[in-house]
Amino acid sequence: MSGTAKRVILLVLCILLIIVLQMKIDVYRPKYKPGETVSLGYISREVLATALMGLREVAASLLWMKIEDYFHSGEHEKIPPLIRIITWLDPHFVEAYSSGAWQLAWNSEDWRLIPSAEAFLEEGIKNNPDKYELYADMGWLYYDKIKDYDKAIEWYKRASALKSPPQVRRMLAHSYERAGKIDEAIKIWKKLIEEGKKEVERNPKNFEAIFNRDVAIHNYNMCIIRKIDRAALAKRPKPYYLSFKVYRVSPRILQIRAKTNLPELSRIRVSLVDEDIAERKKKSLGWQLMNETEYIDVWPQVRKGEMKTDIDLTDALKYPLKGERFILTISLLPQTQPVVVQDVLGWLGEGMAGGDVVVIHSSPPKKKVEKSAILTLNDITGQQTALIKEVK
Amino acid sequence: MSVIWSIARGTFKESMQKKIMWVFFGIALLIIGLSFIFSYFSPSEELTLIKSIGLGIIYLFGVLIALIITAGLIPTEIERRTIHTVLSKPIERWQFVLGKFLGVALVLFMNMMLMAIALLIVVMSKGSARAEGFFKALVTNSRILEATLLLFFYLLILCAFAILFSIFSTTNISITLSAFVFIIGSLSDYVADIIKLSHNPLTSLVLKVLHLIVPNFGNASIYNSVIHGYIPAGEARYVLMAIAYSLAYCLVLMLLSTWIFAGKEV
Repeated sequence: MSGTAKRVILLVLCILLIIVLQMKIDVYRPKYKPGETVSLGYISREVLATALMGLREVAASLLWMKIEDYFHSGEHEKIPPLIRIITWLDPHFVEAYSSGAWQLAWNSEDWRLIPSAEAFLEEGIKNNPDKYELYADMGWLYYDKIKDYDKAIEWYKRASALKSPPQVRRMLAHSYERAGKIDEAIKIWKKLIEEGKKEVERNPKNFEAIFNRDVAIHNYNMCIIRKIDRAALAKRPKPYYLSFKVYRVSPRILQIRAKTNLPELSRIRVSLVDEDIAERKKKSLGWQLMNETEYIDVWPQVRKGEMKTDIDLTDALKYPLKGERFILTISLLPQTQPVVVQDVLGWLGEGMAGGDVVVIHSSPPKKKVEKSAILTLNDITGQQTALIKEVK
Repeated sequence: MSVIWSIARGTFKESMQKKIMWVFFGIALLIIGLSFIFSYFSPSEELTLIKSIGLGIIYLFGVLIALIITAGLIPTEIERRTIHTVLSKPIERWQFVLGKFLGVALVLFMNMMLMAIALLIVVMSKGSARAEGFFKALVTNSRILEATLLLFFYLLILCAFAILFSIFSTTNISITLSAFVFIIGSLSDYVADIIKLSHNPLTSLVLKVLHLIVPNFGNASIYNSVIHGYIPAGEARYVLMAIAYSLAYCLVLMLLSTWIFAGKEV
């Protein structure tokens, strides 16, 4: 066989080897790629060029630095779309999901973006199922914003099943407490105390371990005290009342004035939504405000038996008021109250009965105070100052 | 073998004297070293940024060094006519080409590994060692070296292309053609995704063939897992296959280069 023939055979064999290897590599490749190639609609050419050169993570990091600039210059509205691009470039950038959800649910100060924050975290969890951070973020979203403590428990449980710091289980215990499942909370505090003590014995100079142990001891003691005190509330429940008036101060500006015997510092939820919200509500990641159905969700405090808050709907872009009838709801759920208020009302309303108190049939049963009124478009947009509704 | 090694050493020394390489190397080290500017981010974000930008810089400057050093090797010898002196000695032409390739591989390896060590030092000094303990942090972050090593093997393919093109063209044309191959090869990873999205069987077939034949520089990228600190199952197997792929590609290109160079009039 001539030298040329040998070379050709060697070349062909090498090329076949390359093809076989590439086919085998393709099986493993998805584990290393930042994410699938998907269309994003809008993206700058510079970022795309960098991304296509195999430097997606670098592009994501550079954009992340830009977010820092926007945050400090107060251009917060530019942040969510940029974070969307970052997570597209690098779906394993957990901090981007975390920060994006925070921008939407907390920093935007627009409660209508909470479903978007939730959907965003869901996407992050799907892309990073082994990272506890996003499960914990979802738990905090339900705990602090949505105030659905049973859901918060679910998410914190999932976070604590992964490798996570003690604060995740601390939040799980707090969620149990808020949900009225006090014995479950006590179990967790006990376990955290045991673990903390062992850790301090192992390393007596570890400040973090000492802190974790002491926090668990404090919370355990508080739980025991509250369990005894709040159980006693059920033996002498008190009736609570709430009445309110709605004034139109000027077109699209309402004032709510409530009178109540609910404890000082109670947080009353005031919400205004379209009457047909249930049909139109959709959870979406399209960054679209749900501004055609939902308007206000504020939590003013009770001071000296009164609660007063203004509802300003003058920004027609933000509050288009496309419906004809709106539901104004004034409510109090003991679960969501500050600790000092819960000391009077109980975790789930153990200290409440009669008056305007209603029972929610759940397991365990909860109590709440809730009143609502239907407002028409004319009630809100009318010209003259007037008392437009009174609910006793 | 000693002939090849002599040429490789000569190439290494000659390349190390080139100012442009030191300029690139210096800029890369400077950028990696300046990572402390990210200190206003939270610790985990800071490390993510340092690792991603650091590995990106190693990759980018590795590509620049590979292209600019390699593409000029053979044309310079021909222009200066020093090639006549070399080939007048008992040196086979294939030994000359292979020696040049190995020399440039040494230069690239040294540069990239020094940059990777600099990045490792920055990452370790940024609190990673304090948080996890020195040895645990060293083991965790040593994947920076693993990622760089894999990048090095794929840049060898780029060097082999630059040598192949430089045999029958000028330095500038060789750089341009190699850069073109690099861009096409970097897209190959995305072609694999596009194949899945395509509904036309003919398009899928053409893309599949392209994907399997064009050098896939995307295979070298394991740095998403390094940046975010996860180790996919079967990593050792993947890395070995990826290295075998790059070596097989280099062998093909070296065979072609030596073949063409053997018939070239100099």
